Amino acid sequence: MNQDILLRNNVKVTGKGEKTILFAPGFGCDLNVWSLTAPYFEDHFQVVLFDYVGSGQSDYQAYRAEKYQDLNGYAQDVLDVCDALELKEAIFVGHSVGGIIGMLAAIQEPDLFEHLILIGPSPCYLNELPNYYGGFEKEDLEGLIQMMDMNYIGWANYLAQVIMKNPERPELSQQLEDNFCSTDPEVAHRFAIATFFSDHREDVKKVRVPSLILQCSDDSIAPIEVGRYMHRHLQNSTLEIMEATGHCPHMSHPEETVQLISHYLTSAYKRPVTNG
Amino acid sequence: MDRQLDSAPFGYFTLDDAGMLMEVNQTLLRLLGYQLHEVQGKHINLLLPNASRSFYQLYFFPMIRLQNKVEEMYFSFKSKDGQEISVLLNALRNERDGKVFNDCACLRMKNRIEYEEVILAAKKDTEKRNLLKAKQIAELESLRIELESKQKKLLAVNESLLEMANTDGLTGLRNRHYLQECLSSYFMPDTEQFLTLSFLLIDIDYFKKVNDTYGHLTGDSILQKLGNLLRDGTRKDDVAARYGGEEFALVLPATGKVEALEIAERIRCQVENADWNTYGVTISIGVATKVPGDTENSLQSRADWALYYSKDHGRNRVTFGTEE
Repeated sequence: MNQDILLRNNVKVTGKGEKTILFAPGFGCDLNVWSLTAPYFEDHFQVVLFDYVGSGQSDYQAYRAEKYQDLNGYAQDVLDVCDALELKEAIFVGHSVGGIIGMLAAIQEPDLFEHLILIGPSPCYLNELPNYYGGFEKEDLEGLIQMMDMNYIGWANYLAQVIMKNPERPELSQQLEDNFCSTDPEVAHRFAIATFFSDHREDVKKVRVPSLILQCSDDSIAPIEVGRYMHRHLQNSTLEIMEATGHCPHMSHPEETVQLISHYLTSAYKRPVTNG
Repeated sequence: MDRQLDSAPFGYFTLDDAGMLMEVNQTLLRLLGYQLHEVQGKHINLLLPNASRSFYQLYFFPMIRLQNKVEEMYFSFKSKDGQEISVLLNALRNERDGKVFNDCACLRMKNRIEYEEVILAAKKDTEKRNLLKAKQIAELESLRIELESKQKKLLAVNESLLEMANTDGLTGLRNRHYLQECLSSYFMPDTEQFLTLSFLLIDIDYFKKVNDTYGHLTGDSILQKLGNLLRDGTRKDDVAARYGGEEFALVLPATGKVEALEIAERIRCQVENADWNTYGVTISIGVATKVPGDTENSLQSRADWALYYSKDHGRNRVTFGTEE
């Protein structure tokens, strides 16, 4: 069972240390997004990376449309991975919707994580003016999903089908592996709907685990107002506004990202937390 | 910028990792209606509609940063006058003089985008139809399951009706009707000569007196006890039935004269000595065994004759009905 989960979710464990940091990717990408940041923590922590079912190198056979129609299915992936590795009091780092997924897991099992580190999280993308600014109107999100669909007719869909029909040509699946953002178009489409049309504002209030919110200074996906909203409603949270712009500081500004995470963890654990 | 690149038949621009436009060629500037000084050093968001801004963050940047290339990405720009312009985008991450550049080339899609939109619409339509089909199949399936379960119920009801039609209500034994059918089956032309068969008729002695002395409830109870005793003694293919009133019958397939007489005698003894039998009830039995040329009637007649012989010769005994 444990071994099954580790294969199903393409779990990679590295590093040495009693505490574990679990890194959860955001929408659309796989565990490679952590390649510029996670290695810095390997001297002091056990580092765990994984893919959601339906993304990256996970077992696509395990995908059930019904289970993954909302973020709770993905939160169950996190819980399963933690259970398989018998993690307790770990540190969770999640990018974007990965942060919300970690939050949902932490609500279900409050003892699982000691700290949540949320990079560019948004509990709700749609505006609900004047009470809430999520940054998007419905047309914007539909436009985004349309753009995804247009891209998938181009390559992912084609490749997935070609690979299925050509098991004797492994170079084709190599091509798909190289396209690390490619997933099955149906899976990606449903994940996009689950992500961008979700509203987890009520769940934010239920979290008891202390957290760090890393908010980019100019993020078109999770604008600064959303970061402030998260900070106001998330008990025991610390908000850091980064110099980094964009939505992927762990890729665009890995040094600043590592520095802010390690600063937070150093003061939490009163000991050095990064290499060197 | 190289003059040829500046006016190449494709848009060309360079981004740093923060998304700032470092260089833009004239072809792209003309397409979007901007002057170089308006865009250089600005964030690419300036040139993008909202959907593309998100798409850039979700797909373009992670891919160019980690894979160093983007191929055939469908993307759209927004011109200065607000027109959305679709392009096909390729990008390479290149290092020059120690600095990293995300070099991008884009080709405008005009006719092609229309084809692709038609394809996408057709794909969505197909998906919708498939979904509908799946739903209809699921509905049919649930109807089929419902039908099956109703059929099962009906079969069960039929079975219990049949059971009721073949069973004697008081003793729970088979009734006379069933017994006759069962006997007939042993006299079918093709089975006739091969099967040995014995038939027992059993009658309670002085049953009227029992009823008159102890009441009909006791009489019924004795019928039930005798019924149970007969049922408990039957082997797999034997049939015990209530023949009428206080008369019972046993069909004993594959049983010859000697064995049938033993069985009859055992039953007679069991009744005489049964622990429920505080009334001194006894039974008389007539036994017949099938011979060639027998019919179901002739067999029963001989058993009947034998029973009356038992009755006429002291009761509480077993008689074999010999053929004339």
